[in-house]
Amino acid sequence: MSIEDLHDFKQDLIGNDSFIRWVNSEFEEENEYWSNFIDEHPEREEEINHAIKIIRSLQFENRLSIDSDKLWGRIEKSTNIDSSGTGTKRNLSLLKYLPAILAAACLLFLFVYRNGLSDIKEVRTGLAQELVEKFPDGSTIKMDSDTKISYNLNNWKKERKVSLTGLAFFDVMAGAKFTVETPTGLVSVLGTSFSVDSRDGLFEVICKTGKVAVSISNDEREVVILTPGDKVSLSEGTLKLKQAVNGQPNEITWVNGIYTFDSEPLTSVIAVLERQYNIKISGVNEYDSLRYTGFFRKGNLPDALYSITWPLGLKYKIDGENVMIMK
Amino acid sequence: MNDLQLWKRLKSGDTNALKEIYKLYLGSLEGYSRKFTNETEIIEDAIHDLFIQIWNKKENLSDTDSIIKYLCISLRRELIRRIEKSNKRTGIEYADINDIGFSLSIEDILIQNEVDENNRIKLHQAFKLLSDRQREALYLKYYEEMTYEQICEIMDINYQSVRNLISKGIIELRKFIILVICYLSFALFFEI
Repeated sequence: MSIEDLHDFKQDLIGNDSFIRWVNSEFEEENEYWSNFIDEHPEREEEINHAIKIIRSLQFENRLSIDSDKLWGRIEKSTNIDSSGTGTKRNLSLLKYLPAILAAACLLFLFVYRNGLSDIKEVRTGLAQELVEKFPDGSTIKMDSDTKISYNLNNWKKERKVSLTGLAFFDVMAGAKFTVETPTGLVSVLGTSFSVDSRDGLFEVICKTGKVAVSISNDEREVVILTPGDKVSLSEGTLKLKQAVNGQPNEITWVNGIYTFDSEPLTSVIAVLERQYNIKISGVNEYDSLRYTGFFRKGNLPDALYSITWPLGLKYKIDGENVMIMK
Repeated sequence: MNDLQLWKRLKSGDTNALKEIYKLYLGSLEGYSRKFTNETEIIEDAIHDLFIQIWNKKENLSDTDSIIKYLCISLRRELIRRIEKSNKRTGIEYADINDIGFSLSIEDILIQNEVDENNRIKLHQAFKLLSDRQREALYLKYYEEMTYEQICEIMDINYQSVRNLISKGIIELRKFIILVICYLSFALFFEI
């Protein structure tokens, strides 16, 4: 271990097994060697100290959370290790149950085969929360606040079906038919991206790329096909199409944190604001005849409140988690 | 009872030996596993299968003077296999087995009385600049105190590669750490 003649003395100390053991053991192990070394090389004192500090900074702390007894129980079971030592006897006595076990296994197999293993996954977002969920085939969904989905995990490649309540943006990989079921409408696509708004009895779909087929839940005869930029919304029981005018596609702005409104009742706008910011707003009922056209952004409550109240000649006041609207 | 004797007892079918090994090394095994993944289910399954395997193969196990090294070699393989399988289901693909991450979270970095919260954050940032394999090599060397040869076997790479990972990792960290620790009192370390 000729450390003396190497040009980066510190580097070699730090990489030296014995030195590491000495430092880590709080200078107990290998102490004789290293105390002698320090005595014999007083000129290296500073470098040695630096090396010690660097090694001490490479200290890790493991946070462990496995229930060790429970896991050991599993291992014991799987290896038939038994403290009482009657292992072999137990194995033989199980054999008499074999016919019954086989019969049960057959029944289980038949049941599963006929019904398919139900492996449904549910995901939901809370208020003021956003989430991206990835489906098994790589398709993704960006969920807005207070939105819930459920879909079948197994069998996904063959039948891609998602139930949705709330607001979400889908980015679908090419593949088998992809269906979105909402309480009021049905959306199906092959490979495309689009936004679905199924909040509070609303139903609105905006197509971003590809082609989207939209129909009302109970009536698959009336199908509207959307191409990029088109928007369809449910109005008085029928689907109304608003096609993209040249260069002016219907924007899916909420994905970028902007919520737009087109002559909508103030109470609806306030409901969206409450959901996005997870606050309670009072004093709006007086003004429920007012309609609002405009937008607000996520992430800045005073600005958002201002964007909504000022154009309507209203004022707001923030008091902790409560907001009041007034004239 | 050193490793060699404990291992011999295991090979001869002593069930208490298996339990002792489990109790001795579970902490290290879980700690190491958590750097690859945080999914407890994957970690528990991998450790479970590891112990089943060594029990079933006990007569044919080769002698070893480092049980933890032996366990880490098999565990690492198991973990990577399971993580890759789990990632395939969610559509994430890795080009290479070595693309599986090894991450140190900020809570993994110990606060000693000399290192305060700010410096812990800086250390964490320094670690982020390293590659996954550098982090892993440093963890095995400085926390588990493995030798270079043992790290070669665990990470399945050659001696020179391990030396490079560690020395490059240290060089990167030194740039950061020297700035951080220069104010620390020297006296504390000199009670030799």
